[in-house]
Amino acid sequence: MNGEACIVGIGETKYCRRPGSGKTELALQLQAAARAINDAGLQTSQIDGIMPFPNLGRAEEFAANLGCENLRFAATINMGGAAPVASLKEAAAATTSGAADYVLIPAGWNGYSGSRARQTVAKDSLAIPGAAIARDYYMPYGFTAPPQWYAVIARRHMHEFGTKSEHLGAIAVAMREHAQRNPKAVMRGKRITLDDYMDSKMLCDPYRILDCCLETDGAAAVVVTSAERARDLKGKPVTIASAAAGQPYPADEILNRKDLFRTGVTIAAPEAFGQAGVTPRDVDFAMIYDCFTFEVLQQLEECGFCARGEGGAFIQDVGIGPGGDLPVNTHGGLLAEAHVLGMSHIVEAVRQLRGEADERQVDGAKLGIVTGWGDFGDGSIAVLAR
Amino acid sequence: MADFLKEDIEMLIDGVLPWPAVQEMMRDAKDTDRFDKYVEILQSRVDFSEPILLPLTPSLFIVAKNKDRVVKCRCGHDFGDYRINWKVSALIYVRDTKESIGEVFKGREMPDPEWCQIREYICPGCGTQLEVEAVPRGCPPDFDFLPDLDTFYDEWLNRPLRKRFEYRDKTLDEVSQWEERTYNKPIPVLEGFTKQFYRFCRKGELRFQRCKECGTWRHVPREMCPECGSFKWRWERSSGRGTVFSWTVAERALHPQFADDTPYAPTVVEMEEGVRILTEIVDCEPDELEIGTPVEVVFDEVTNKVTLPKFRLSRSAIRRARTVPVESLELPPTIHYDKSDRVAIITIDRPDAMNALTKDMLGALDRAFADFNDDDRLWVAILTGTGDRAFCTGMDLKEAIPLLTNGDQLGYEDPTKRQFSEVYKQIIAAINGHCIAGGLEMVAGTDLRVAAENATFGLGEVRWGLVPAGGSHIRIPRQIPWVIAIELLLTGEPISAQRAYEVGLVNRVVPSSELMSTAFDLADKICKNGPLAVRTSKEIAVRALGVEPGFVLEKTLAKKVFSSEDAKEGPRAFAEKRKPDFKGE
Ligand SMILES: [Zn+2]
Ligand SMILES: [Zn+2]
Repeated sequence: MNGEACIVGIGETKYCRRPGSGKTELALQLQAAARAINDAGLQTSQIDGIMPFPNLGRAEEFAANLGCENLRFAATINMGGAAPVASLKEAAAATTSGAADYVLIPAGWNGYSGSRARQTVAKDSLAIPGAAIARDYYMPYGFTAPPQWYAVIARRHMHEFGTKSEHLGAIAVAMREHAQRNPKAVMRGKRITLDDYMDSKMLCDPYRILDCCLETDGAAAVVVTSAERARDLKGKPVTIASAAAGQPYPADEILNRKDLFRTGVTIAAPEAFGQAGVTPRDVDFAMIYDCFTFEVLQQLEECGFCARGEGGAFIQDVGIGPGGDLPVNTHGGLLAEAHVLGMSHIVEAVRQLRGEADERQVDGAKLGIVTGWGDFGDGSIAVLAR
Repeated sequence: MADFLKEDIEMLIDGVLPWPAVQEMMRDAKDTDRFDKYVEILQSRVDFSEPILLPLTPSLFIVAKNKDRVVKCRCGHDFGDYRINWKVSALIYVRDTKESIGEVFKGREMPDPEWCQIREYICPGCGTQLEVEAVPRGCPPDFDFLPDLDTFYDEWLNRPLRKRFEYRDKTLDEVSQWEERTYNKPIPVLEGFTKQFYRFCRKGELRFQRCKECGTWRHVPREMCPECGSFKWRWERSSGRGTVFSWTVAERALHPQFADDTPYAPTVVEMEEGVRILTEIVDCEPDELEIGTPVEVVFDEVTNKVTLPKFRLSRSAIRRARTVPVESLELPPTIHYDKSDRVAIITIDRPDAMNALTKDMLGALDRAFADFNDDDRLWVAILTGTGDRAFCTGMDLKEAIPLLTNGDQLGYEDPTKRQFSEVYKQIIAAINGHCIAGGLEMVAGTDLRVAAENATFGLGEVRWGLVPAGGSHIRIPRQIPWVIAIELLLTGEPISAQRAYEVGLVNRVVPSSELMSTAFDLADKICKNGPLAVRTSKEIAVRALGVEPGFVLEKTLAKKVFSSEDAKEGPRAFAEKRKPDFKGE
């Protein structure tokens, strides 16, 4: 890369469940996009690159609505929930190479009020990761949804390393604690204890209801440009020190992996840390894509915050809640703030590095990571710096 | 050619024509006129107007309906195209329990519901019982009669029917269209590799792709071997055995069509071949699942096109879980002796040496069987070997030949005794692979025998200038026909499990995955009976054979062979991997 790229604008809509956003998914994303562009001090017409989330709108639609007359760069990274962070990498490459000046990365949906993911699966079996493989070899047995796919991996982790429900519960509790300090969080005002967690209903054993992310309506967006251009803008830029993405092997089939716990981020993390010249020990916070509790634990291990198998102890000893040594998802994450497809993790990281996180501000936050997770374990990670 | 009055025919149909007249009618050549009169009478008696082409039964007729030929009940109920077995669209009342069969058969007449069921086919239009059949369970409805109507009209009546019909049983075409009528869960789309994978399942075979170049198994199917890049592969049959690798319990369905199934447990099974498959464990509550539990494949025909491989807890595994090893006898690690309820399981575990026996192991076997014989809680023993290559290939030649040729009798000092001579409890041999030489000699001393499909049986001693002196000369010719026994003894050529079954050397041949469960089934059957009766029964049968003089003769004559030059040359040649040069002395 010729120099570095920065995140210069962030924007979000309101996050909600009942009664729903009342807007189309495109309208939601446009609102978040407009706020992010405004936050960057740009005109919407200055956006010349757009990276939509897979299956949630085309760049052409965004450009036509926002009035982007000079669109030069459009791409979508097909990694499900790992797409927003993976897009940071491509946006950084585009803006530093001159392929685009200002790249908009939007994401958002009516995850609560819209057609739910499981309905989509029932209607179109090819819509799920693995496509025909899942349709022909998983779905006939009712193995149809992400919590089920990951639950069999979580069970293996418990079997091989002695990870316990209490460890997963500690993650759920910590995310709720963070959410109490975030006015936007859907779960603000709804604290839980470990007992509440242990008593909550099983959804797909070993996952309880409280192990699973929320279903919410809402959108978020960021704007990326080169460090050089960022200097001329009004706000405090946040530097993308590095970003990387990776896929498990094989990525289209979740069961026949020689190493069951090696996922996309296992490959991506060393690259990201290496490129940024930092180690997990150096970071002040981690925004970890938390579709389910165990995936937080697994990513912490695979990112190198602790050795594989030691995630449970790490979470208990080090602390990932407010005031912990490694605050994870200070906004509450998908588990307690809202499910914005991982985009709100980036937004929150930027807030922390700008020092704008109000009562949940991590003191002196200078360096943080944000990860993404999608499909059958695709992964992405970015190291962000003040 | 006699002409018959319509009245005569009518009486014939009604069964009131006097016997002499019937006989007369039967003697004469049939005439077309008679057929027409016959049909005319029947036509007047049915509740429909379409012309009868041929009567099938007193109540069923093939009739011309517009351009079709259909089967109709006399009430007018239409069973569809006459080339489709009408039974598949009749109402069927099945009697398959003692109670329901007992309603029609009494006492000794009663067929055994274990293997027979009685089906009554009833007209949905009028409730008439049209047909009854007694068939083995699961047998498809018998298609009694598919008449070649065109030939009949062409050649017999000499008035061809207007439209010709392809003469072919179309029942399966019809039945295959019933698919998915009741099954609404997602099913695989049968295309490409997936079509092939599930076609094998349909045949009751679980097969995975296996690379021809590097031998790697893979699932799900792929074009290339990701290990070596080869495009060459074949569908290779899996043992069907695996272990539970992981699972999740869906307490709430995340797909509407599984809503009625909760809680259900999508389970990952790791096959012996190393590949993992997502499946379901049938007849197993989710809370019974445990990582590592052995399971075996079963097939679930969910639609007429799709059969899903599912798994069940392996029966021998369930049994093994309840099995307690006996440690007090201090047996070598190559002989296991376990007890499970009334059954002793004695296992030869030396698969690296094809389960060949050392003198030490032979002694251990005897001690284990002596303990079995003395333990009143044990009624039946199962004798088997570890692995799927060999059951037992006899004595370890490296060790045994010097001993035997030096006159060591390997433990049987009493010349009237051989292995199991004094065990009158039942011994079931579960023969998991090659059963050669001393292996077969041992099996000849057992009672019931179950063999895996890959097992072989042979007495190869003569090929090395030796004789099988463990009682085979006496026992084998008493158990199977003379010529087969003598062929085994003199040629040294082994026979297959199937052949062994045909000649009566074994009771059952089963896939190796079912070997132990079959053996346990037999053991359980025996344990249901009076133990004293069973034991005495065996003792009488064995002692009545009067084998002792034969054993003495065998031992005496065998000594001559064992001390010969040939007996030294044979094993030497065997060790040197060359043809022996026999002198006959
Ligand atoms: Zn009828
Ligand atoms: Zn290969």
